[in-house]
Amino acid sequence: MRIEIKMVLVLTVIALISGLVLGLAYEETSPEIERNLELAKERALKKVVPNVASYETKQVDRYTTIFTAKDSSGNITGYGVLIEGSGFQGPIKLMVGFDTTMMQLTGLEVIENIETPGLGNRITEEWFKKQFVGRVPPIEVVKGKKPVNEHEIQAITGATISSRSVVRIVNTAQSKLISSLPRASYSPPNSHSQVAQRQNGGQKKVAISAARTHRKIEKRKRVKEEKSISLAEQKSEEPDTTCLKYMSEFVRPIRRCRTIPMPDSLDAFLACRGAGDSIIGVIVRGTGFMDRIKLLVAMDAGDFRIIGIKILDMAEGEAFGNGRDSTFWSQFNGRTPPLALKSDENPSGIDAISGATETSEAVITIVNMAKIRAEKALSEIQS
Amino acid sequence: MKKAFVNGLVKENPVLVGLLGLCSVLAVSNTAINSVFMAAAVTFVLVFSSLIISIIRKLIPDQVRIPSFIVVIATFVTIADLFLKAYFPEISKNLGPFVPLIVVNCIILARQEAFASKNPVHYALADALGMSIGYSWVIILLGITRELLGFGTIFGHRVLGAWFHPFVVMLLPPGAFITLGVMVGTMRWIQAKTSKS
Repeated sequence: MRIEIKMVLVLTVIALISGLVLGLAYEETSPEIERNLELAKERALKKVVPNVASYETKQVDRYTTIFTAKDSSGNITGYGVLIEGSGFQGPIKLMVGFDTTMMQLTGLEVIENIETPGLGNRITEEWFKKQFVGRVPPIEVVKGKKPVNEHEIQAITGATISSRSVVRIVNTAQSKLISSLPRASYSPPNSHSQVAQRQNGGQKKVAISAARTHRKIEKRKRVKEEKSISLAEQKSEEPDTTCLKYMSEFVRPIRRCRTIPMPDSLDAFLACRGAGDSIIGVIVRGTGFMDRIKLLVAMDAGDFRIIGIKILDMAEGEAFGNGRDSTFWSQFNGRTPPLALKSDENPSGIDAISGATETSEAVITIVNMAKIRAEKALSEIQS
Repeated sequence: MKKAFVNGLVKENPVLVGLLGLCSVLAVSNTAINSVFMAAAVTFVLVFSSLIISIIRKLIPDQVRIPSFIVVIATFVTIADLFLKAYFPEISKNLGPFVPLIVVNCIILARQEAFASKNPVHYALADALGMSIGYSWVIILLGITRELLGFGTIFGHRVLGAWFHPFVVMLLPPGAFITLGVMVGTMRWIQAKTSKS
């Protein structure tokens, strides 16, 4: 036989046999592999949402799937968001649990990560994941000190970037959840007692005492506020200078301006231009790519169309996210959150700053949060 | 035949003497359990590839021997990978791409080229087993050492008390290089001593 023919023949036969064997092996194992993947997701969902008897899934985009969890009688018990984002070494995949109001976190599970073992990898540790339970995004990372405020999470020593990535993904998960499922109008969660119940051991005490002091502060604030309102009514020329300072950026002339104190020390402001023409400005904080971002978002108090955004604090990379690129920011004006980045499914979305998709996404998340905070602030003053 | 088996254990150990297949040895030896599964996967692939190659060695034309070896090796690697994914998903996740990468592990290709394609089946099997055990004891010892110093545990069981402060570096690539370096050095030292006396 000629050697060329023999070569071809032998290789072909080897490849065919190999193909056959692999086909059989695949047939044998693939249902098991599929089942493992499903099981891993289901197990994570059951960990982050209480009373899961069945669930529905909705794929939002390539990186996000939403699980609507239901109990045995078909009532929604919460939502799980399976979401992938970038960490320090590579993608991090999380299952984030939300309560039925989509506001409060009920749990967090790390499905996949390739962070540094012993450092970033510690995002899988219980104490770190536990911190998120009961919180209301947007959440922020603090390092080198104990978290004091309700929206703060302790970073892992030596793994600030991984900690921050998780927080950013969690914040994104909420905005994706809110923007892709219909939501009943906002009802404030009676959070504090629930938080205390869900957390255990030492954390319970802390939560209870935190809730107590928190309530005290709120009460004090409310008293102060009531006083100031009655004062304002007596002497109508007494102006709220803080409110005016922030809001005169967006509205002029301002007839009346008042500060609405919010539970987490980030205030909201209501400025009135005339009858039925009020602008609400809210301060929102969130986690960007490099560091935290703090924005003041002004919206129409009626339909929540964005009137303007002011950057209060932002330290993204010089070359990219820091770009106070006015073409990026002006895109928000006139739109009503929830917003999303421009994509194939969402052609009317916001154009990212080129080279700074992470930052752009973070900004959108924070802006979406601003609307929720505005609704909350308005419902607070109406009650 | 006994010689073919014993060679791989110490004298011609593929890792410590041949310095072959270091990629996986360094990468997945951060815990003992990962090392055990990696060793098992390599053993499976090496033994079965050697067996098949040795059986068909007279049929393969010299010009296409490397592609033939690769196809045979890749088949067994894929089987091992699918098996781990289906029945040990946790382990498979830890080992990541290093199971599929056995395809290009030089130990396996080198044994086919140097031994299995030139020797009858029983010799090829003895050689493959010897080399596999040689690879296995090194990676498992490495895994145990790194896990002990990096976590204070062995196979997940805590052996060092609360006083022990783990060396995170042992779990990272530098820890793998340091430990392997010490092992290779010790090996050389022993060999030098025994050959003198």
